[in-house]
Amino acid sequence: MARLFYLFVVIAVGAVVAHLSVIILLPVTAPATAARQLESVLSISASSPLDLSAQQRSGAIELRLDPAFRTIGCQFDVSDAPFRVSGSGRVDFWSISILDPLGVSIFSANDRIAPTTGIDLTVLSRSQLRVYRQSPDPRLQNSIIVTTEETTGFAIIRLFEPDESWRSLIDAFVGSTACGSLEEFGLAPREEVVDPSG
Amino acid sequence: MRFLFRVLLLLVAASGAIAFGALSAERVTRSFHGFVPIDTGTWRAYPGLATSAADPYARAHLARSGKLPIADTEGIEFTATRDTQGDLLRAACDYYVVGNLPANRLWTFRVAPIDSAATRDVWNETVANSRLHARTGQNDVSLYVGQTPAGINWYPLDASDVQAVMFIMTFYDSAVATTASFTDLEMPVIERLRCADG
Repeated sequence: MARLFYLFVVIAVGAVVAHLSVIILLPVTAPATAARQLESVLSISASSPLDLSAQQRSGAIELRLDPAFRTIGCQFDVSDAPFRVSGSGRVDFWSISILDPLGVSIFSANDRIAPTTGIDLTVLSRSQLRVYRQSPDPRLQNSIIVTTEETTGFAIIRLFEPDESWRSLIDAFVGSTACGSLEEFGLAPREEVVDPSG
Repeated sequence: MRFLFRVLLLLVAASGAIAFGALSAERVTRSFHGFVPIDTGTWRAYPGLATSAADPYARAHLARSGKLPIADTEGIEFTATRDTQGDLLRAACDYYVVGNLPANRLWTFRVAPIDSAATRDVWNETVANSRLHARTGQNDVSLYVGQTPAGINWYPLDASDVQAVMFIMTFYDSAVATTASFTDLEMPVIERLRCADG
């Protein structure tokens, strides 16, 4: 009888451990998480954002994005240089969310919060932020500064497109949107620009 | 022999525990969306779902669904699977959605299939949004959705291949998502008018 009870306890405790392990591991191991889907269509080397709404309509991804929005995205890697995304134009509403490699939002903003009408956001690692703080680049003074613990991640931008008539305005905004490392924007890291010995 | 029996018993216990734990995790993450939702009438929302503030069950469910949620600064999404009387929402019925809305800059309304076997295209249609909606007051909604044409703000529900549906109402740049006070939250009621199949 005691052995049976012991067996029951072992199974119960084991089941709880197995249950919790599955729950905690699912965001990493599930086959079609939002992050995995984004990885499958985005590329770190791309200098312009990808139209995720079009990808969803074609069935390449299934992120359940709001169809009243044009959602565009970039993938970044800040291990070598900070990442920047910028774009401007006339839209009713835009919002941006910076995701970690698992698709968890580490920062989000909308056009009311931003200091400028367009999008201008720079993602830095902790060490890059230290360099930036020592000699802030005036060309980045209107840029929203976001720091990340991870080296990679995604930038997701949502543009409100109420109906077809807005298409050309949204197209123009998307066309003006660029993403990439600061070098690609012609902004070399500050410490290389100012050489104290020279 | 006794030793062998013990090992066998332990193996049975371990495999039973793993099977039970994994199965329960599979069952739970399929339907359970996470803890501490905002419940108001028939509508339900999960603030913080996109961030690390989400509980492990919410994140596990999200990982399985493949959905990319909006972050709190972007907005907040409410879903309803039942009308105000408590009956399941069905594609064969006509509904009237009416009432005041929580503070927002813009909103969208869409209908999605609950059955994942339904055609994916249904995700790609917005039913209504605040720009295209004829208003009666400052911040309210009055819309008909269904098969039977009905006056102003009627939106046809073309979901002949689906049975159960859910209504998704998303508020962008909404104070609801970023403040902790949900007590005075107002959401519209969902009245069922008639059903094609009686």
